[in-house]
Amino acid sequence: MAPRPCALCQKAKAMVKRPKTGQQICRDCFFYVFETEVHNTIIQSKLFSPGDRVAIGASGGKDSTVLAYVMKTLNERYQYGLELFLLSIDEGITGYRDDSLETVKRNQQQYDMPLKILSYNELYGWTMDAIVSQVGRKNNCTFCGVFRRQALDRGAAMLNVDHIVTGHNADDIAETVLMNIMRGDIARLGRCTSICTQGEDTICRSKPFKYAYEKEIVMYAYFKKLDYFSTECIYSPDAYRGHARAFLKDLEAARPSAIIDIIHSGEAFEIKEEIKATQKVQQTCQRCGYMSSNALCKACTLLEGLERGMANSGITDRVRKKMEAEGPAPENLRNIPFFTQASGSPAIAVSVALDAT
Amino acid sequence: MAASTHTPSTSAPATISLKIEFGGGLELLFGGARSHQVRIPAFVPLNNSTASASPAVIASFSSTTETPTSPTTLAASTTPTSPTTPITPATLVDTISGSRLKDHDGDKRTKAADVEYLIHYMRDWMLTERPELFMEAGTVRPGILVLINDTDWELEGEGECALKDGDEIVFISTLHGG
Ligand SMILES: [Zn+2]
Ligand SMILES: [Zn+2]
Repeated sequence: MAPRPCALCQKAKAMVKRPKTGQQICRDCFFYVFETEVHNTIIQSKLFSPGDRVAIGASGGKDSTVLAYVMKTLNERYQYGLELFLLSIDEGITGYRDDSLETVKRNQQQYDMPLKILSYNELYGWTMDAIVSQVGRKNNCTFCGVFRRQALDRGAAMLNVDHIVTGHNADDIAETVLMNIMRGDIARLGRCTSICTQGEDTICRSKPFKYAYEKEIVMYAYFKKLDYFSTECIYSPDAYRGHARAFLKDLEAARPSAIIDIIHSGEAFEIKEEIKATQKVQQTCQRCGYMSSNALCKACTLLEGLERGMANSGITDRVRKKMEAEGPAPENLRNIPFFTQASGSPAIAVSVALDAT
Repeated sequence: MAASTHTPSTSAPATISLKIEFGGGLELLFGGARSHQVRIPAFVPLNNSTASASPAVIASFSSTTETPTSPTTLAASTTPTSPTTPITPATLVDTISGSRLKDHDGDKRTKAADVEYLIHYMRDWMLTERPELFMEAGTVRPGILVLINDTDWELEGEGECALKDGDEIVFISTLHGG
């Protein structure tokens, strides 16, 4: 097949077919359009202000590795004036997270950004390995999801950042939209497509790759020879998400615009006021100070279940009822350190950011 | 690596040598090795039957810089292994037409080796586990990116792209964690 010239510069050989547009472009034009689209997303959504301290949630995987590289590039090119940090959560999974953290440590050197690693063990007193040995492989993703979310917020508070950016891409968001529709979770639909979410007193979390296709992120990493880690978590992967993903990839193969179409349809759902009213009011957890819709936050409930050896019997509501029936929590129970939100004045010395390990 | 290893010969069937690279965790389906050197016939059955091909993985490397550690099979092995030994069971089904393949001796029509043939060859002779994660409906599973000499295979005719000696083919899974 005769080499075709790039549709943009008309000079170099086309090397990538863009899934969004079908445009055939060369490597340099691909870098340029990919980066420019992320820049446009950032500007149009007014994600940052000059002087913002921004933590990049870094797992060592393709998305967050490309995100760190692109954030650094754009911050320098367009003078956003951001102070960038890498924030990694160590779930304590031998043979998985320990290897991917090595990748993040190399990224710290390569991108010259301060790195903070916060471990489940440090925060909750439990590693995922220990949790799985108690609860088995069936429900462990629930623990991991609840613990990771809170750990990211707490890591961000320790870094005293204004903002966390994560590597969620268009495919991830379309997948979540599908899952929320299939589960009938209409209340979550609006939130899962919004580029930036900010709870009552949380740090802003946003997704600069909201419109970036996974194919382009992987191509970008390949052409730039970025160093990333790609192994599935060794504990039961989310099977439901796996099916949603395979379904989405089939749709994309038939019509590449399917991914953006699904995001748009998720955005188009409007939540009626009465549905919003049934969503619980946010308060703070009486035990650890983290925001919660109940007296105890999900992490504290799960932790208490683990500590009292009752985590097997189910998740959250059922466990909580059972624990309440068995009387108050014992005095010597392990607790999560009390959460103090970053409120302008740095509660914790900034030097923790320079975790050189 | 162009023609240096390729000795022109009129008697032996001509072969081409290819470099195959895996990324994004796909190497886990191929014995963990990221880089492979293979030799396949220059002309192959039209129906992509690999039954008459002998496994000619010259060497496998876990990284591009490493020296070969354990060549899985030596090139030009004198006694071709029975084609039924690897994963592919005897019931080969042509996934495009849906019909069962004819005995490879029955259909003598050939074509120049292309990517579609290579994918079948890889499934039949190189894959070590879970073929359904690599192949679906006669091609690679959706979510696997293919690059031919660093160009998106969607620009090269995908499966129909003809291969030549020295070509480098990269397969990257996008399905592994972010
Ligand atoms: Zn160009
Ligand atoms: Zn709590």
